[in-house]
Amino acid sequence: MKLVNILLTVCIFLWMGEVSIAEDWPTYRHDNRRSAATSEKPDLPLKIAWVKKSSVAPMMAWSGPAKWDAYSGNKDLQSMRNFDPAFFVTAANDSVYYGSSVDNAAHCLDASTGSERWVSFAGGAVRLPPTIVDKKAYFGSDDGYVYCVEAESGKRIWKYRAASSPRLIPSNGKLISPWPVRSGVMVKDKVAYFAASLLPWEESYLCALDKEKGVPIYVSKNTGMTLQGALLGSSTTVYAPQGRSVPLLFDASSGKQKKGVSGMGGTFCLLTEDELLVGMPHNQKSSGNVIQIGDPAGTQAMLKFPGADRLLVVGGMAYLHQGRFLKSLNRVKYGSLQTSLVRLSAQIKPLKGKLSGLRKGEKALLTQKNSNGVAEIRLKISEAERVLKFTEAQIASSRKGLAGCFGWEKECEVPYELIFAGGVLFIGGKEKVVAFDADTGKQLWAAEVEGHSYGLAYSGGRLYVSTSLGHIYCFSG
Amino acid sequence: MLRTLPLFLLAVIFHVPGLVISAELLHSWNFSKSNWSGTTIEENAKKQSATVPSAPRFESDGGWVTGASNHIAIKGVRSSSLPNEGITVEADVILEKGQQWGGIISYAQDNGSYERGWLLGYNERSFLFWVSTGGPLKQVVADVPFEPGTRYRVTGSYDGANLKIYINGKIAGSTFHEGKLAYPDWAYYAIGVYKDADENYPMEGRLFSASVFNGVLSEDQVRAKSGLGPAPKPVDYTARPMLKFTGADSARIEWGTEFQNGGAVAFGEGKELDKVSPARFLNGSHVVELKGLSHAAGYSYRIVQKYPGGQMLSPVYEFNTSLNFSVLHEPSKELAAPVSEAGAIIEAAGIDRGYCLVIGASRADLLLDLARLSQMSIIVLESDRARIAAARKLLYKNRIYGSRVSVIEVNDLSAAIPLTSSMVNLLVSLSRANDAEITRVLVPGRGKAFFLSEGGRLVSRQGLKDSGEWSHQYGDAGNTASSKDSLGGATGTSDFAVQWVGRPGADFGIDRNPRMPAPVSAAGRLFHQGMNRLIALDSNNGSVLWAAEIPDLRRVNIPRDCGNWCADENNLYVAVKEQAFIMDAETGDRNQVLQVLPEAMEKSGYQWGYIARLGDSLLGSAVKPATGYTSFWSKKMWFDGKGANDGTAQVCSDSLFSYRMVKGRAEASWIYRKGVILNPTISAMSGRVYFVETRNSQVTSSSRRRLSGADMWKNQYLVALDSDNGKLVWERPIDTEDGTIAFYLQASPEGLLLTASNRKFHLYAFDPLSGEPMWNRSVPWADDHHSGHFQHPVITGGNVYLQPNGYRLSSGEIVTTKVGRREGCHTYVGAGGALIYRGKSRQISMWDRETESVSSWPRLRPSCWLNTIPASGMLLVPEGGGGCSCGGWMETSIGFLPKSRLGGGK
Repeated sequence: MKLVNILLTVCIFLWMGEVSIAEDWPTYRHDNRRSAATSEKPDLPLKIAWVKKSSVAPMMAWSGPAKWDAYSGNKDLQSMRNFDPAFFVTAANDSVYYGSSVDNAAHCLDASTGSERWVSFAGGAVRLPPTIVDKKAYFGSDDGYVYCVEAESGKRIWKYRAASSPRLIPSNGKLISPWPVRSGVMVKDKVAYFAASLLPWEESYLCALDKEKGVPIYVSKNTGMTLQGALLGSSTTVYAPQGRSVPLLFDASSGKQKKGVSGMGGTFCLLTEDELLVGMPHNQKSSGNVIQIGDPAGTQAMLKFPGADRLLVVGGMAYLHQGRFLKSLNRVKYGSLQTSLVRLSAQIKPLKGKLSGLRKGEKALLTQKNSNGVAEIRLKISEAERVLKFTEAQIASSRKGLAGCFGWEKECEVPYELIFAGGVLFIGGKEKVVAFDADTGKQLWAAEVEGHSYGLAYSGGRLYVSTSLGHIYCFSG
Repeated sequence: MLRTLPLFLLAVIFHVPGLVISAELLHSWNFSKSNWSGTTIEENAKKQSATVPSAPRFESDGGWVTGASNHIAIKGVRSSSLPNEGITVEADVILEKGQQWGGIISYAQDNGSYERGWLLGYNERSFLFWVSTGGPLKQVVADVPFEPGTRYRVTGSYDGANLKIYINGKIAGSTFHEGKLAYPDWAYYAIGVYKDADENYPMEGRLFSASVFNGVLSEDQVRAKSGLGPAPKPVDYTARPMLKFTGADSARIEWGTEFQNGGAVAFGEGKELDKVSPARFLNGSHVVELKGLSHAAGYSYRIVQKYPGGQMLSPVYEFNTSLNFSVLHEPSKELAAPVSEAGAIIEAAGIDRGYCLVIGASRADLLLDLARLSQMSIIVLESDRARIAAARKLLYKNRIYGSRVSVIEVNDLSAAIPLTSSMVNLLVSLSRANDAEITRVLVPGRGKAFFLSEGGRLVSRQGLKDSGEWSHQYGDAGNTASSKDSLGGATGTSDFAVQWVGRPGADFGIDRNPRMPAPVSAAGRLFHQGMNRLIALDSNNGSVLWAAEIPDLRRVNIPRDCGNWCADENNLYVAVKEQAFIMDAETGDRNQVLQVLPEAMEKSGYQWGYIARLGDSLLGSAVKPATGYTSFWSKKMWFDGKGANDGTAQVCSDSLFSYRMVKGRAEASWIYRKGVILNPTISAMSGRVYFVETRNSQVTSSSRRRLSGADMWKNQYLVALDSDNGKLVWERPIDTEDGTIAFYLQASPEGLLLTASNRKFHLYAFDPLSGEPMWNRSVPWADDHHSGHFQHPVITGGNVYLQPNGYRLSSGEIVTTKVGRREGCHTYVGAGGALIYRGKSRQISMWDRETESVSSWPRLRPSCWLNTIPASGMLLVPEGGGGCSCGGWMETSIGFLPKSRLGGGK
């Protein structure tokens, strides 16, 4: 009987490999690591199913970046706070959800038709999509509140505000709390996490609530920070982006701030399964885009990809857009080689210093006509030269190896978003969305949309595209 | 013209003063459309051909439009085939704009200290020609600036001894340099681009022809060849162009010329000008409405003005729809005509923009009508959940919920209002009677409450007695760098609450607003300049009242010049090249366009320099063209250096003049002209205009007005004029230390303060009534970087402050030596009991004058001169620090309200 069960399981597994199993996209970029990767395999080609058009483009929290740093001669400065350029969606149980920075509400649509099932209004903009867990939808608002509503009806279950002051202030023709919730709501196990924060000279709140009752488990009060952009979470840590500063790490169980990862910034962040943090640099000194992979534990070297705009990690592979190309990368091997390269490179200077010292010693001994000493030191010089040469050879080999970590590359315009769905890469572009085979880079499908495709999600056999005009497109097989 | 010459060899022998006396035409490029085959063109002798990346485009004048995808860069041309002893290079060209590295035709490498080859090109202001003979390149720069959009024949020649540049056949610069041309191992033969191994800066403009001669043409021959082909003239404006966004996808461009017909705008997304929209003539202006603009996209446009016998073309201007601040959200078009009292309320209150608070949501019709009849953001308070749901449903259906109207749930409509204080422009109460809480939320001095339940009673909130303005570059026309605002007694950052936060952001300005004009504020409005654009905000809530893109607005390096705008209760006065716009402060309507006085100066192309309001007078000064600073790209354009070529030269005016304001209209009044007036010294107070001018004949007879050098510090006079009639009140010869780094004059009742900075600061105080010297002092710079060596003193409370000291202005006595330490490039301003500046960790900081303590706002960065102003009872910080790629700055505009003025709204 046991053998039969095993065989059955294997058969089911093999069968599953051939068909698409519907999977929810329950939170911003699919999961708390913001991986933007689902195992659900699309059935291409897709056709337009419906479009939900907005009469007004998203009313973003922040203006765009400066056009340039003229002093340093840098152009194309990166936006570090564009966490709300489109109405991103989540999807579960044949419903699709989004938050609106225009009408201050969370929305639920029928995934099949795009018709509106419910609208739940808040007192301010809703900048990130609701997180759907256990038939409940959680979202935060610029009014300083986090809301929990029934996912099926939109009926409010609870709301919670971290700041004691109800004072609302003007901002871009709307009202906001000086402690707006611009982190979304991250739900893990029984806890709903969010940040209420804006001004570094005021208190910021990182909160953990009982997700059923909306009562605080803890409220971590801190100053000198401005938490914005979707929170990320591992089993032990909450990662809070700050936009124009380094993401901060908090102990998930206590809310206490932990040692962070230096040199990073932006609100585009994702967390790999081995807990490396992918993000942008902490400032705009680089001309053009850069994506980085940092290790909060500090054991691995920071990986930098100049010219990269988007990066996706699926297991040991990474997919990134760099320059004009979409590329695949064995990121584990690359990371290992890079770490070794950094370690080896750090040895060069001391080795050269040592060699230089020995040669000076040799010179002195020659002056002193100390033949024994000269012989002895020459042996040391010889050994030092050998070690230096070996190290340099290792560096050269590592550098060569780095190039070999890249797989296919495909010319592709700058993506605004990049997701993975069952072996297919979807790229959100300017007025279009394109699908590529993740194994080969071959283009599989494309469709036109209006606006820039900043948000992509795949769930239940449907591809959702959120654009800069506030439109949401649904494509299905 | 060159096509008529023999193709293979044009040898001319002339007697020239240099070493080389023959000139052989080597390459002759004619870029007219018929000479192209697809993307390929051959020079006339077929010695060179070139292919450009994209299909070439041509303007109506036949010029080839160069740019990022349309320029020539030929690799593989051997230097041995190029001139090596004497050379002449010429081009028939129109530039759309200058740039730090501009190339027209070249064969060059300029990589650090490795400089080889030759280049006919331009910088941000002038054409230039440089050659290398092995060492550092030798350059000659034309002594007259070019005008964007104007066609020129530019010629550079080098005969082994003389390096010359000609503009339209006239010598425009020459210098002596000896040696044979030195070439790099390789270089691009580049046309329409500055390109070498490291650099690639395409030229934005048009090329008609370009030639290279082996040898030197004589001055006579250059003159003979200078006839330009038919070309459009630049547009001669009676009102310089201005663009305003009028809706989510529309904009209006308006300008004035002497013609009533024949105006049009060519425009398109990116760099293309593929659409043409004819202008209407409306109220004396040409008006073009652009429709169907894309969201968050960059556009280019050019104004075309036909006239009998030809057409005039403007330079190419730019705008970006991401800076569209117009009201984007209107109620559904299917709605019936307004039926409610909304129109009457708006008319009675005289308020149609800013924030409107409606107490009670029972009148959904009123909410809809308020939205569609105004530009207001409407906030509704309601306690009844059914009413809230009904109102939201209706407003959402009409697509204005959230974007124009929001309903806030409160427990009790008669209880505390959950809004910050002093933010509501118009309050409409359906049932609540007037009370202190309603007064609290109204904007002081301007906010009004309309009580529907009381028959439409209208109540206004009185203004604050101790608020002040910042109406001019340094606060007032006297340049005191202070405001009379008490800031509610606030002297530290913790004494303030954030009142509003938001637009404009970092994308609005020039990188760090480098020494740009300060924001100004009067009558509760805040005006701020960005990159050739300006915006008007409500000081109390940050609402955008209006915004305008003005292509010719830009002025930088204000410490060596003066501001280009000022404001009063009714108007904003903006100097734009030879004109000044009088704009309605509330709506942005351009009510009048003034020209520099006198008319003779206008015809000489004089531009409007100083501008100030004093009594009934609108004061101006006349500056020669291209004297003011407009360049901003590169470290040098931060103007922090100490050399004469580092932006320390003073912008000077040839005259002062005045218009008299009569019933809101400006009428020409008086003109003063004697010496050369240093713009940073022009200050006005209590019916007097004060300034320093030099009457040195070497200076006055010179054609230059951006001045440095010893002569300008000779024969100086401190002058006081009567601002009503321009008559001399007194004048006094002065002999101060030379202000080679900075030279400021400030006027206050306690004294006139003249500050000269060279190796240290030198302060001179004079009696404003007589000009008699009062005292003087010299003090070391606190530092010599980040503008420490040209800080502008602050006069407030009878004292003058210049880091690290404070002095009693009447006596020069030191009152403190502990002024808060400055750590960045913003200059100090004063208000109430504090100085505000860029202090600890380069953050915006406050120094309490009484306790001498310092406080700061973390991660809040000011601009690189002056963008933090105390006015309207608040501290206002319109964004100015964006573009600094260091640090995690907030990069937002922000308004601070003293907590003492929050009342119950905490």
